[in-house]
Amino acid sequence: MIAAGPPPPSRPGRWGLRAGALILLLLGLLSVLAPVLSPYDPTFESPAGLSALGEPLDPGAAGHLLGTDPKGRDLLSRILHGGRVTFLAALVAVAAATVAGLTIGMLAAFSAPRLGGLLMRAADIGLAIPGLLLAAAITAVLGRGVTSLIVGLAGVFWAPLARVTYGQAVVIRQRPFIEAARVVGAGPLFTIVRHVLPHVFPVVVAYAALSVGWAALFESSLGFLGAGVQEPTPSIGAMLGCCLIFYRSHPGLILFPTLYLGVLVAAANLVGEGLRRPTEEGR
Amino acid sequence: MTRYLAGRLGSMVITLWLIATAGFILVELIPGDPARSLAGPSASATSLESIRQAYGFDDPLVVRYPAAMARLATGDLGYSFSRSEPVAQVLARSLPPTLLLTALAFAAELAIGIPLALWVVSRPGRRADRLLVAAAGASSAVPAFLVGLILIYLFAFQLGWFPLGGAASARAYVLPVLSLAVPFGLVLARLLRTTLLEEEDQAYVAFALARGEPPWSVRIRHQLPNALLPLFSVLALDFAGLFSSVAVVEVAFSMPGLGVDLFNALRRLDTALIVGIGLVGGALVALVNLVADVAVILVDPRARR
Repeated sequence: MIAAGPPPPSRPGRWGLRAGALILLLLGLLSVLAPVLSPYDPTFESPAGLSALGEPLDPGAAGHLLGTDPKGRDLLSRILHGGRVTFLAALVAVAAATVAGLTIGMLAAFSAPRLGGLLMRAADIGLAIPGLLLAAAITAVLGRGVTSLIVGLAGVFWAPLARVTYGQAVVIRQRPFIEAARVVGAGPLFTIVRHVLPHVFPVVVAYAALSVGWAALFESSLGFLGAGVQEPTPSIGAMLGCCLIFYRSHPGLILFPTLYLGVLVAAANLVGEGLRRPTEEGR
Repeated sequence: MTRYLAGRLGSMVITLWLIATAGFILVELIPGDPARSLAGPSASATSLESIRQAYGFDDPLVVRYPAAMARLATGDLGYSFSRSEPVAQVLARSLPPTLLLTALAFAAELAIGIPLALWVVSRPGRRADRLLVAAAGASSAVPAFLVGLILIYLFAFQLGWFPLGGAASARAYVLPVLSLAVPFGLVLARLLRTTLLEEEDQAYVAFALARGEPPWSVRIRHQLPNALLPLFSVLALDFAGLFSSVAVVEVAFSMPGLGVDLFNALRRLDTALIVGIGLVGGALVALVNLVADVAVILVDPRARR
C-alpha cells in the first residue's frame, strides 16, 4: 500500500470558532451579571447554610441549587463570582501580556540585532522558568490578591507571546512586499504599522486566545497551591484549593468549579484554534 | 562541537544569573521590611538584626546586589524560617523525589505518546485519529491535579487498587505518574502525529514501501526518527510545564518533594524558600534545554553545521 496523501485533517472549523466565541460571550455575561444573578452574597457565611452536623449542604438543598461550601456559603453564588474573578484576571493578564509581548517581539525583530538578541534572550528566560513557580513567587511577594494574581499571570504569559510575535515578524520581514514598501519610500515605522502588524496581529491574537484558557488553568493551579486571591474572595482556584479535602464526601464542591473551568478553557481553546487555522493555511 | 558547547554553557550561566537577579528583585520588591519577611512573623529582634546584617539590608543596593549574587554562587540560598534549616538543605532533600517523579512521568509520557501517534497515523482520518485530536484538546483543558483527583477517586478510593497518596511503595507512584503522563502524552501524540504526517510524503518513505518494507516498519524505522527530531526542543520547553504540573500533582497525592515544600512555603509566606524553589526550577529547566539541544546535534548530523 502506497501511503495515501495527507488525510483530511480533522478540524472544528468555523463552527468551533463560533461556538467558542458564543460560550465566552455567555461566560462574560454571567460574569458581568454575577451580582444580579447570585442568590446570595458569595462571602456570606450563613448558619443555615450548614447541616445540623456542620457539614456543607448537598446540591439541591432548599434555597441552595448547588449546595453550600464548608463555611456555609452558597456554592452557586461563589462560582458565579469566582468565575468572574478567574475569567477577568485571565483576560486582563493576557491583554497586558499581549501588549507587552507584541511590543517586545516587534522591537526585537526591527531593532539593532544586538538589542533584539538581548530582548529575545530575556523572553527565553521567561520561557525557561517554570511558569507556576514564577507566578507563585510573584503573588507571594506582592501579597495575595486579584492585582498580584494578574501581575503574576502577565509575568508568565508575556514571554511566549513575545516569541510568537518575533517568530512571525521575522518571517514577514523577508517578504517581497516589505522590500517593495521600502523601495517606494515608506519609512520604517509606517512599514511596521501598515505592512507588518496586519500580518503579525492575527497570529498573536489566536495565541492570546489560547493563553486566556491557559491563564485560567494557571489560576486554578495557583489557588490549589494556596497562592493567588485571598479568602474570602472567591475564585475557581481558591475554591478548588479550599475544598479539596472534601472531594470524597462532597464531590460537588470540586465538580462544579471544575466544570466552569473546563468550559472556559475549552471555549478559549476553540476560539484560539479557530483563529489560528486560517492564518496557518494562508502561509 | 566544543565551541558550541562552551557557548551554550556560557549562555546557561547568563540565564541562571538573570533568574537569580529576578529572585533578588522579587525579594527587594516585598512591601515592608524584607528582613521581617525572610525571618518570619515570629522572629525575635535579635534574629531580625542578624538577618539584616547577613543580607546587608542596611547597605545600599550597589553593595547588596553583588553580595547576594556572591552568596548564591557559593550555594547559599538563605535560611528557611518555616523549616528552621537552610534552604539548600530543604532543596537537597526534596529535589531527588521530585526528579524521580518527573523522570517517571516523562518516560511514561513517551511510552504513551509515541505508540499512540504511530497507531493513529496508520489509520488516517478514522475515528481514533479524530478522537486523539479531541482528547488532546480536552485533556489540556483540565489541570493535572484534577486528572490526579479523578484517578484517586476511581482507583484508590472506589476500587482500592492503589494507595491514596504518599510515596511509600512503587504502587504509590502509579496514579501520580499516570495523571501527569496521560495529558502530556496525548498532547505529545498530537504533535507527533503532525510531524509523522509531514514525513509521509517524503521520497524515502515511498522508496522504502516500493522496496516491499511493511508500512509499520517504515513508520517505526524511517519516519519516526525524522518526526521525533523537531520535537526535541518542543519537549524541552514542555519540561517547564511538566515540572510545574509535577509540583501540583505532588501536593494532590501528598508526596514529598518540591511541590509540597512550595505549598507549605506559600502558606507560611517563607520567601527565602519560595525564591529558592524558583531558582532550582529555573536552573533545572535551563539544564534540560541544554541537554535537548546537544542531543539534537548528536543525533542529527545536519544540525552540526
